[in-house]
Amino acid sequence: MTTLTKEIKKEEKKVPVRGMMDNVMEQFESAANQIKLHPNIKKILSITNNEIIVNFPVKMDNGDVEVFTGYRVQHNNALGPYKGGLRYHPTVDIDAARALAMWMTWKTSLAGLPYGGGKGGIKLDPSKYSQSELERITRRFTYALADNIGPEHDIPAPDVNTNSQTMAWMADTYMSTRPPAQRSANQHVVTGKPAGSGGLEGRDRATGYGVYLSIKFWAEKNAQVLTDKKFIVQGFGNVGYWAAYFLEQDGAKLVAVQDANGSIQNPKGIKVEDLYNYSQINEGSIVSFPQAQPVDNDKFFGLDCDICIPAALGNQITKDNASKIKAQLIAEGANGPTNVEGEKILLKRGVTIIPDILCNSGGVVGSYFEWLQNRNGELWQLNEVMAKLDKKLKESFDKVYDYSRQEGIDMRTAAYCIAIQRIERAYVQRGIFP
Amino acid sequence: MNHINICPSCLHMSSCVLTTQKDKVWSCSEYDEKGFEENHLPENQVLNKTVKLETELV
Repeated sequence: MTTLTKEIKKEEKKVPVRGMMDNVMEQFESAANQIKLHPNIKKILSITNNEIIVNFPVKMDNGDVEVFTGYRVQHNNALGPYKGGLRYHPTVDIDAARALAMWMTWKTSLAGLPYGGGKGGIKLDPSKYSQSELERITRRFTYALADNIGPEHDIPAPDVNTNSQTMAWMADTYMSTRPPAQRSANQHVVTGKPAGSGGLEGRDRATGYGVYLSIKFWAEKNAQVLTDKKFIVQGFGNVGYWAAYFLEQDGAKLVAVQDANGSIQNPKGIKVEDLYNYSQINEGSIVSFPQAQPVDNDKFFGLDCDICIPAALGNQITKDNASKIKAQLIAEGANGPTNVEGEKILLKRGVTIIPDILCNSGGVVGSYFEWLQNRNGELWQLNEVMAKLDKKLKESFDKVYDYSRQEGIDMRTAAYCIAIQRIERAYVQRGIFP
Repeated sequence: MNHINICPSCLHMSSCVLTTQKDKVWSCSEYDEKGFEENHLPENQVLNKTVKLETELV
């Protein structure tokens, strides 16, 4: 560690705001202490590499010009190009992007990908703009970011209020700014594109499939079978639905679901496809599904089950409900569903938690596959994608599981330790320029 | 200070049963932007979860 002695000037970079992502920061601190992270590397990882703010004008449908503010925060690229989503939302700002970019650094590192972490977006309310205005806003933002993004430098992806269409516009705009002979070699500047425009087959199910695989790997390690295991799912969006779909294929039984509208249960089992089809004709809601009974929303996490999958939002398992949970396994499909107090209670009770950073990493691995596919000029079939996901996620799961056993620590701390150690190793090997 | 708060612009804000901490949500699988899907997706894709907006952190 003799090469890392130069002090970083504090005024050169900003420290991320803690308030928003207290849990993540606390985990970073805890893991840094656990692995005795070198203070110089801790200094580097506590701050962002680059923060880009662009103000750009766009002509509206009525002829007026509006000026928008866009952000891109690049936290760390020790392992490879920055990777992370772009969100369109009124609350987007540099502080928000900073914390989320840092989280992406840990996530990509743990997944064993050659990526760093980034995040960004535009401060706007998309419901106030037409489709053609959103297209012009996206294209002009891409142009304003210019060489601050790139297929080997910083690769955005969809996030809140951005989708495959947004990514298709970004890719097209970025490619159009390159010399003609280089255009098609730049398609991997973004991931999350539509399948017909360089996107990945099966990208829609990648995160949910990863949640299912994490549960399957855990069961294998513990000599258990999934057949007849009862599970509950909070959130019946992309992640919750696909996780339930694959678990059911393996013989497990969905016994309760909660979405934004309410909660239902059936101890004898709920058919995943029937519930999905019902929700499609019921404005997206699972409430009043004929083959289930309503259940109190407050009692949802205390329902009888073997596996609990919080796949909606953060801060769901807390000190108020952790002691009532019957499941022996929590698979975190959402980001941050278990808070620090809730986790302490669960761990004390011997409940295993597969942490979000590992459990829902199928999405970012899927993005990596799309990037690789474009970069190599290939088109992968769905079964090939699923097989590759299986292999990649098994590697990450085994590393975290084995490390947690070896060190006698929980899987979340183990995941952060592995993620941070991987970045630390890169700095130790490379040293600091000059 | 918590800067990210996606609930106020969500379609389910007034009826959502998932959380009472609607000032602390930065990521949610149930999130639907008010008026966004209706305005920006073809009619047959609205509320179809297979094409629902991707809100996962990638």
